Parts: sequence; structure tokens; C-alpha cells
Amino acid sequence: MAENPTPQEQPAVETGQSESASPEPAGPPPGRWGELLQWLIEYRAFVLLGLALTYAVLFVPFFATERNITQMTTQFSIDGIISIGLTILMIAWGIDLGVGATLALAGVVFALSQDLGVPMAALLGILAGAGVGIVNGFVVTRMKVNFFIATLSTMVAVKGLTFIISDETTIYGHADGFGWMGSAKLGLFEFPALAFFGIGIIAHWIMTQTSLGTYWYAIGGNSDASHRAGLNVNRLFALSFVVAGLCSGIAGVLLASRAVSANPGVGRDTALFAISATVIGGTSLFGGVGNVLGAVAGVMFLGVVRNSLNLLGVSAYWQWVIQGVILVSVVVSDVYMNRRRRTA
Amino acid sequence: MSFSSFTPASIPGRLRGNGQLNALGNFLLREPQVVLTVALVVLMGILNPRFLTTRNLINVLRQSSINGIVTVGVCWMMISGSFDLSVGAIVSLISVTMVAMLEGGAGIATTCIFGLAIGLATGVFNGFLVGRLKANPMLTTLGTMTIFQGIALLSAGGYYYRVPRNSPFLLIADGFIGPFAVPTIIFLALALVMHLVLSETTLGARVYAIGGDEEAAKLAGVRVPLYRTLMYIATGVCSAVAAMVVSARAGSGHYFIGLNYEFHAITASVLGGNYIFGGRGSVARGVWGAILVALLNNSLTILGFEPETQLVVQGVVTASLVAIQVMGRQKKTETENL
Repeated sequence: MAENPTPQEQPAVETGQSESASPEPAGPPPGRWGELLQWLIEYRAFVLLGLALTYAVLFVPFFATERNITQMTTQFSIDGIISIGLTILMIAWGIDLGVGATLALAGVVFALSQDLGVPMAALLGILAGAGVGIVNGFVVTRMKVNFFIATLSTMVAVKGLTFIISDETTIYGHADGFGWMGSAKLGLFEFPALAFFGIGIIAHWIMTQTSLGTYWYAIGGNSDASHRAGLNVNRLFALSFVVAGLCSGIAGVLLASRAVSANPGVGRDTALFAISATVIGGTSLFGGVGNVLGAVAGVMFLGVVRNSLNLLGVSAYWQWVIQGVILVSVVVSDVYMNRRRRTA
Repeated sequence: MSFSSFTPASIPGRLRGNGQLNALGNFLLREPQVVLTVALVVLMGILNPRFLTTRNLINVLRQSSINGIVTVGVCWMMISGSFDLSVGAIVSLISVTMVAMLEGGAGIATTCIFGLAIGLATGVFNGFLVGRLKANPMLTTLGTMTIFQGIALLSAGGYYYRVPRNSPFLLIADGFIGPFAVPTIIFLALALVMHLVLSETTLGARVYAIGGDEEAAKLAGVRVPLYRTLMYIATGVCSAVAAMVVSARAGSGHYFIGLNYEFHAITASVLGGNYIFGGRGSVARGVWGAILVALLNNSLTILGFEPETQLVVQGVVTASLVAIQVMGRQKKTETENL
């Protein structure tokens, strides 16, 4: 009897900082290892990022050079911006399989309208992305189409539209300052990386500090209850699609600017990367759960892995396989975590 | 009513209403393939006299066969209320493997059996993840699509494989029996078998049950994981057959040969009037849909449109048909609640 309290106290002392990490009050009292596991799962993106970074810095040649860091951050930032939009959408219990197509459309619109001046063209490109989001939101909330099917259909339509307006060719940037956004540099980081971190901070602020963020968590957690509590569920849900489209639009413009050209065929594995990063970052496919900072860490983790594989000379074909395996394991593990969450 | 519900829909009956006009409207909504086919044939018959020739129509049938073979499997999948986005990558993987074997001098029977075995294995893999582990079908098969595509690229190593000249394997695409090409016959025979299995056997009835209401099927004693796995095996094997035909037709094994096949098959299935939420439909509808897709592409080609336009038209038509189906479901739910 007298020995009982000590083992129960120990985990609380050892992992004192994890108190906020296990929010389930009704769950069975976890043992020391259980609590550690819980903590690891909760912060898996940061743990994985730490491990990958440690490995890369120690063992991957040329990883820790200034040039590589600059290139790598720019590379993952463009897909990462999409991940942030997708995180908000998935917290509201949606998904967009067509982010890659939207990315390509935004780039093409940007390049086609460059004669209007680069800022105006960039705005149009971003608006094109948001427009796709509006269509998705409309189809899903008004026409009540399952969002998987809806975004798959709009993806194909957007892809076709992109090929038509671009006449199936790469459009080169000739306007002054076309490539500025993709290559301007501040210290170690280029503009896309700064945009990624900036958008991450803004999105994190929206999701944690504003009522809009709370509403999104609410409708993703339980849309019926949110409806009864007086939220305009449809409008909020549609808005989350617009956010995802907007982020894809920004990413598309940045990508085109960086390449100083817009290729209508880009973005094939964007959805794969973005969804994987988001779920690794702790966002559930079942809605209502997730956070933007985790997604940022998930993006950086996948970015470091991709970069290290490149530096180690692993064939691009293997990287397809590895990305697929990551997505499948993430999706399968999410089923189990969701089950635990619901039973807890 | 939860708007983003994953649960499969109840089987929608007739939309309630009065009058013959309403009945006609309902029929057209439920059977969009009739309207589309009639409209297309009439329109094209007027616009271009070459369209309605026997030669062109037999050609259309032949063009529909590869997509049709994949569609037959996808129909089963759709009726069971699930999805497989990896069929295109499976076709590419099997095409590369089979033609590599042929180039290496393997026998045709061995090669075909090996191709079917890969189709089976991919089906078991997908089925295990979605059926047993209950992972989301869309995202899981998006992941396995990438895996299979990666393996196809790895085994091809960036090269094309060529079917040896004069190999009898080429007859799978080039042979004729009567006026019909071998691919057409494979397509129709496979469709007939799969249609009969679905409509006449207990297995088929259980597939409908799972697609109609998975929970109810489970309570009625249907082993859902087993049947889900079987569905994925069926699409895997159908993809293997499609891979044989397409490799023989192209005379080569290419790592991107099956690109977008999943989309064409889903389009065909929906265009034929299959219900995208499962529980309703048939293989025959899928066959009609596959032929309709080929007709549509054929018409657009005759009218001089780019291939990308075909993709857009397919996307728009599919999206509108799905929207119609969803609105039909909504109406049904509303009348039920009254």
C-alpha cells in the first residue's frame, strides 16, 4: 500500500512538461511507458524532425552547408504552404485531392497575365487558386457531394483547364521582376521559405487565438452539434476549402516565379506530400484534431528526408516508393489513433 | 444530417412525385447514359456522316475495350462502396514486368500467369489495408498507387521494353475473330462473367449488401473485410488483363502506360449510371459507360478537339452526374424524414 503512490508519482515528475500533451481526462491511467508513448505520438512530427535532422547533420555529406539549407528550405516551403492550408481544411474535416492541379493553374494564370505587371499577375494567380477553392466549397456544401469525389472531379477539370489556357506548353517569364518572389534572399532563407514560416505563424494564430479557428475545430469535431450551437457550418466549411485553394494559389505563384516559367504539368505528387506532412504533423483525417505548428514540423521532416535521400544519391524511383509507404503508414496509423481518441 | 458523412447511402428508390412528366424526368435522372448516348449519336450523326459507319462503331468498341476491362473491376469496387485509385499504376507495373519477361525470352503462358499473380498480389495488399485495417480507401490507394508506380519505375529503370517481333503475344491486340478484335472479345467475355457473378451469386448479393449499408451487412453476418479484400483482388486481376491487352497493343512495356486509367474507369462507371455511393448498379452499366466514354472521345477527336479537352469534358460530365446522384439522394432523405 505504501509503495503504490511512488510509481504513480514518478511519471508525473519525469515528464512534467507533458501535462498538456495528454488532454484525454477520461482515458485509462497510463503507465510510465504509456505516457511516454502518448507524448511521442502527440509530438511525433517534432520528434521525427529532430531525429532526421540529427542524422542528416551527422551522416549526410553536404547537408549542413549554407547553400543546401537555402535550397532545401525553399524546396519544401512551396509544398509546405499547401500543407498549411490543407491542415485548416482537414481540421474542419475536409480534404482536397486537387491541390497539385490548383498549384499548376495558379502558376499558369500568373505567367499568362504577367504583362499586367507582376504584382497584379501574382494577385490574379492567387485568386485563381481561391476560385478553385470557392468551386470546391460550393460543390461540397451546396451540392452535398462527398469531398473526396468532389475534389477529385474538380482536380481533373482544373488540370484540363490549365492545359487548355496554357496551350500545353511551358510559359516563360519575361516581365521585369517575374522571378523576384522565388529567389529574393534574406540571410539564409529565400522568400518562399519566409512566406512559408510567415503563413505558418498567421495560420497558427488564427487557429489558436481567433474564434474563426475555434469554429473550424468545432465543425470538424462535430458538425451536428456545431449546427445546433448556431454556427453556419456550411459557410465555415466552404471557407476552409477557400483557404486551401488560396494557399495552393500562393504556392503556385511562388513556384512559377522561382522557375521563371509556368509548366502546366507540375504538381503531380503535391497532394501526396502535403497530405502526408499534415497527418504526420498530428492532424487527423477524421476532423477536429490537429495543429498548424505540427504540420510545419511535418513539412520540414519530409523536406529533410527528401533532401537527404537526394544527397545520398538514392534513385528518384525509390523516393516514389518511400513517399507512398509514408502516406500509407500515416493513413493506417491515423485509423488507430482515431479509434483510441474516440474510446478515450 | 451530417454533410460530410462517410457512411454509405441507403439504396435510393424512385423520387416521389406525381405525373408522367415527373416519371420521365426521374427516369432520365436515373439513367443518364440513355440521354447521353441518344444525344451523342443523333448529334454526331448529323454533324459527321462518317461517325455512324459500321467501321467507326466497331473501332469505338475496340477503343473502349482496355478502359472497359479496367471498368469492369472498378464497377464491382464502386458497387461495394469503395474506391481504387491505384489501378492505373497496377497496369503500368504489370505491363513493364510482363514485357520485360517476354523480352527476356519467357513463355507467353508463364508471362501471363505471372502478370495475373502480380494483379492478385496488389489486390491483396490494397484489400488488407482497406478491408482489414479499415484505412480510408481514397488516401490508401493514393499511397499504394505511388508505391506501385515507384516499383514500375524501378523495374523499368527508365527504359522501354519491347515485345519481340512476331511474338504471338501481339495477337492479344491485333488478332481478329470474325469482325471483332480480340480485345473487344476479351472485354465482353470478362464483363459477362463478372456481370453474372455479381447478379446471380451469393457473393454478388453480399457485395450489394456491403455497398448499400456496411453496418447492416456486418450485423447480418457478412464478413466485410474478406469481401472488401475480394473486391480489390478483382480490380487487381482486371487491371492485369488490361495490362496484357495494352502491352500487346503498344508492343511495349512502358512505366506510365496506365496513367489516368483510374479516372477513365470511374468516369465510365458513373457515366453508365452506377451509383457512386455504392449498393446499386451493375457491370452491364459499366460496359455501357465504357463504350459511351469511347464514343465521346471518338466524337471529340472527329470534331478536332485536343486530347486534353476530352479530359475536361469527362471531368465535367462526371462531376455533374455525381451532383445529380447526390441531389437525388438528398431528395430521398427529405421525403423519408417527412
